[in-house]
Amino acid sequence: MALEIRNVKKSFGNLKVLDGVSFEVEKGEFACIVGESGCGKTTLLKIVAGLVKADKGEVLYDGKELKTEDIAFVFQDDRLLPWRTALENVMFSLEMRMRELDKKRREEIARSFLELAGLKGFEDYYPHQLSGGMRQRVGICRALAVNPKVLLMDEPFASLDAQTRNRMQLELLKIWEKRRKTILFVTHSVDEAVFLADKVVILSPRPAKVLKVLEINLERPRDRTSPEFVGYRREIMNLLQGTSLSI
Amino acid sequence: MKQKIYSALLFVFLWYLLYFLNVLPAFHVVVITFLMLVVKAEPVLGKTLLQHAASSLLRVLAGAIVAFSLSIPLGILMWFSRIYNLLHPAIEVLRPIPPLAWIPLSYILFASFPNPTVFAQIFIVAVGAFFPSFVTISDYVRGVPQEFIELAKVFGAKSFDLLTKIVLPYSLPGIITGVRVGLGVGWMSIIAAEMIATSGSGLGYFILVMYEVGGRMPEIIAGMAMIGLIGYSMNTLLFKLEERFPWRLKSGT
Repeated sequence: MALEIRNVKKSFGNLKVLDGVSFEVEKGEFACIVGESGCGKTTLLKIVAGLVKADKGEVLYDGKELKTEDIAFVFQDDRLLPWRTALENVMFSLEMRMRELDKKRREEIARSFLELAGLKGFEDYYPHQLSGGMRQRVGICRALAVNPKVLLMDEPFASLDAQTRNRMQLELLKIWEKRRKTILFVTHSVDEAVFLADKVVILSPRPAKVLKVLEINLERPRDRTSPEFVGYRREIMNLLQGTSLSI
Repeated sequence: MKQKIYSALLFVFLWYLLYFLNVLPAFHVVVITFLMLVVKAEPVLGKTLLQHAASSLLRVLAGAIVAFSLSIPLGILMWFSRIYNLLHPAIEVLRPIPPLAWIPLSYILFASFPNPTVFAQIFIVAVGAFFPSFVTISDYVRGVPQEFIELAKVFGAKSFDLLTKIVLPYSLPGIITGVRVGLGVGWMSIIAAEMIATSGSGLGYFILVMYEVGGRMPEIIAGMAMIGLIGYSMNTLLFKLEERFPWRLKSGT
């Protein structure tokens, strides 16, 4: 067992956000967390990242507490630094976390990841010169460059248009197949979750609990129109709708 | 461009209106006086307008260097809430004191210096330039988006990294704005300071003397025009610089 989320609870004042969330993710597995907007998905991810402290519960990796230096984060907004080029943005994470490397080595690593993400030739472009999809890919490179144990992704494609979004999902899977990372990917799109994940963690509305952990046993690349794909979607949507109707 | 021509024509028209009302000397007389003064030394003080401008500019430069070498680092340090809480109240009390109000105190402070008036003038410029640049820079610095700080922390940034890799580069345009605003106030301060703490040269001193030797209006207005032109040029130059940051500069490529 690689990543264990154990009975995580969190309240903000009187607002109960997470009410004992538990699930497990295998090493190299791609897990998606789905739930309604405002159900506490992002809070959960920030707790896993060590950015927010849980009131109760623990986050373990191989039985030990997961630390911020073990993870890397891809934000919903691309969060690239506007005064740095694509290459320099990828190097930023290396400068912070791999201080022992010299500048030349950092640049080599950054270049290799940009190439992996299909951004060769765009190294010296500034964020405002790149499209939304390209910026998000730079953000993914920045996160992967530090070789994290767990990659956390907070609705990274939510602000992209539908076509770009589908293309980015394929790109991400391609990258993931080359550099197998344990990924925890938050989304509110059921379609996205079924398309990407080995395992979908379905959260109830606030205060969030795990409704079900669903394994997606479909070959990749997945066909969104296949009956099996639609079947998984239906199952998750029923679970999500069932809970919100019962309130 | 058309707008600018209309604006200039209106200006000249209003000027001649005032000329016919016997308020101002004719526009062309002032223009000729200005051009003459630029090339030829004015007899009372024995200096050209350019020489006066140069002495004023040198004093502004000296005062501005003092002001900015304090306001830039201090303004950036204001990012730390603890330093902000410590400095902010004191700055807010000192800020409303007009630069000229510091002249008597500066005379005493620099009394033992070889050339106390010049030191006093430079000090006044430094006071004038410091506060607006400091406030502009610290406002900018305090506006660093929390998202960038969070990003840096995820990847393990320490306080010093936050300062050098996030706060400083983010604030660069704000620093230029601070320098621009500070120079503007510094320039106004030196002209005023030269009229009170006189030292034999400078545009402020020049227009004061032109008044004292018999109210020579064309010379006075020519001096004022020079003050305006220099202030405008400094402002425009730095404004252009603000727009030329790498991530903005390359937007066309």
